[in-house]
Amino acid sequence: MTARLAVVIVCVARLASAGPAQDAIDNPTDTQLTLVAGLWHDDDLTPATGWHVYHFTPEADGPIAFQMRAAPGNRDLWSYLRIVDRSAHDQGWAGVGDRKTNLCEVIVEVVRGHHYDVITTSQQSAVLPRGKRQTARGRYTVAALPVHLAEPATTSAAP
Amino acid sequence: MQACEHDSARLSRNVKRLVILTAVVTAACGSAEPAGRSASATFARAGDRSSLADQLAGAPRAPGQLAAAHLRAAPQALAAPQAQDNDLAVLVPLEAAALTPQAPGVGGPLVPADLYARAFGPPGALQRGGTPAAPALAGLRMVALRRDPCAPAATAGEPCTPQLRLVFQTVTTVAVQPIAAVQPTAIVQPTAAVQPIAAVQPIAIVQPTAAVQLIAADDAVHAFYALDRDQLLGAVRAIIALRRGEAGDRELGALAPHPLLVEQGRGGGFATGLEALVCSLAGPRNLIRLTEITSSGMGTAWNFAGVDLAGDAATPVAIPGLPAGAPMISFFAGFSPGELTGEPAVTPAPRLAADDDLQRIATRDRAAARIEDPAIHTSASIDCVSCHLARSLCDPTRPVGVHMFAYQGATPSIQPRTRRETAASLALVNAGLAARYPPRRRP
Repeated sequence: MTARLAVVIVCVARLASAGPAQDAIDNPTDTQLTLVAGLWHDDDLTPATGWHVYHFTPEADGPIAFQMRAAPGNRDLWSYLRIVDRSAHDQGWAGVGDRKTNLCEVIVEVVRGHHYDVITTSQQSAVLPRGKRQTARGRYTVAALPVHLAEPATTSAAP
Repeated sequence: MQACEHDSARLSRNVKRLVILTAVVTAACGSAEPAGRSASATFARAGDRSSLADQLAGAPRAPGQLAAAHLRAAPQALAAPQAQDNDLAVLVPLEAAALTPQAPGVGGPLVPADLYARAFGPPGALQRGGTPAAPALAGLRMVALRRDPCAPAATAGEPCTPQLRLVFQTVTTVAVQPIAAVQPTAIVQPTAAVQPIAAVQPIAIVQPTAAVQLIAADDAVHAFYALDRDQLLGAVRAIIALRRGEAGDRELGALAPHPLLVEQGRGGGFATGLEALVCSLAGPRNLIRLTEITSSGMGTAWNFAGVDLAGDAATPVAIPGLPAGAPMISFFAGFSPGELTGEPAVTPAPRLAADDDLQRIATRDRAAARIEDPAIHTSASIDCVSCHLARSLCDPTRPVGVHMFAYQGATPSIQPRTRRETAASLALVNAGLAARYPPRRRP
């Protein structure tokens, strides 16, 4: 049960500030829901709800794989995740890497007690052409999954 | 839908069935109230199955009442009151699944809405971590029942309690033809008592047509009712009488959708009598546990939780292997069908003996065999995921199925452990019945 399923595109940026506020695309909907590591939450994205914000506060330091998956082949909803560490003013995001799986993943080395916003939306949000409004529509599922990362082997420097 | 009331009226048209039903109800509940949630219906095992059989065979607390009922109903039944598998565990065909949690039982509905809300929160309330809300009561139908003479059964020396377990699932319809081809008269409309929920349309009348197929949602609610040994044996005698009244001495075979329910359908004599029997045995007074299975992760994760009910208290079921107070356990299969790539697969991870750890691929078959053996493990010794997923983890190429004795979509799901539990229960019950029904003396 170790295989990874999706090709993941992850980009990390440092922000001056981050939080669930209106952006150029739409208003956020704060679900007021706190994710629990290892448990999956199903929801719907509709055009009227903009993007969804969930909350996650880890109980331990370590890597967490935030995953979002929408129905494969749903052209109205390509998975897209943004993880915001409000405490560190930091964020990471990922868009769908393989449309056959419609799965995206952001792996974050979380810090116990920090508050993380888990933002689910559609990749369309980031690339809407010619000022079109978001039209993401469909069911998806999201989770914060504790994972074990293999450490790269240390090698001694050549003499 | 108050199936019990409607069916009672229907009985008056059939004298034979009425006589049997009278015996059923009298035998099942006329002698005593069901054991209360706080009543001491428990009896300790002395160490092995034969000793439990001895206890089951002990003198009835209300001698004469049960036997009298059967004498009135079908005297010849006394000669061979042997139960069959399908008497102890009844899988109701979806077309005949009409009994709802709101049906009137002893002292109130089979599953009162207030107790359900106490167990799982208000209707629609998401569970831990945003996992799905408990199935809406209005959409549930009883798809199976099980009589267990010794729950949680099995382990020598452990205390056990006779129980009746009702298995409910959300029954819905799916179109099997294009909508345009569906005749308006074939579409079942929800009643006022059955409100649509989320994406499913619970139905009030469960008669499929060529255009509509009945399926069970991938959820379940189990309701556990405490019985005492007399009630349990009385209920078994009652269903034997009911079965013999409809089918004589026919052998109904291995566990499957109950053959008489398949043959007769919802309005048949067996269904009518069965529903009356359930309603005479179960109710809020002896409802001691509610458990649920929900599905999330867009059909790739399953969540197990439950509460024990005692008086006004609802306490999370202690799941073996989990830290005290852990309210639920979840299994994630991953998104690649047939590969079981979920990571982590089980949340929280239970502490398991190496012999019982299904995550160890090299010994997985052996672990599954132990977990599926009711003489080794019970719900008091192994966690929900290990028990419900043992089969699926051994054969990951098949769709994951978590239902032990219910439906996966439209397909009956009967797992090996259920067959073994039923066989063990059958031996105990028939030993008890034999002791209570000594051979007739010759005149």
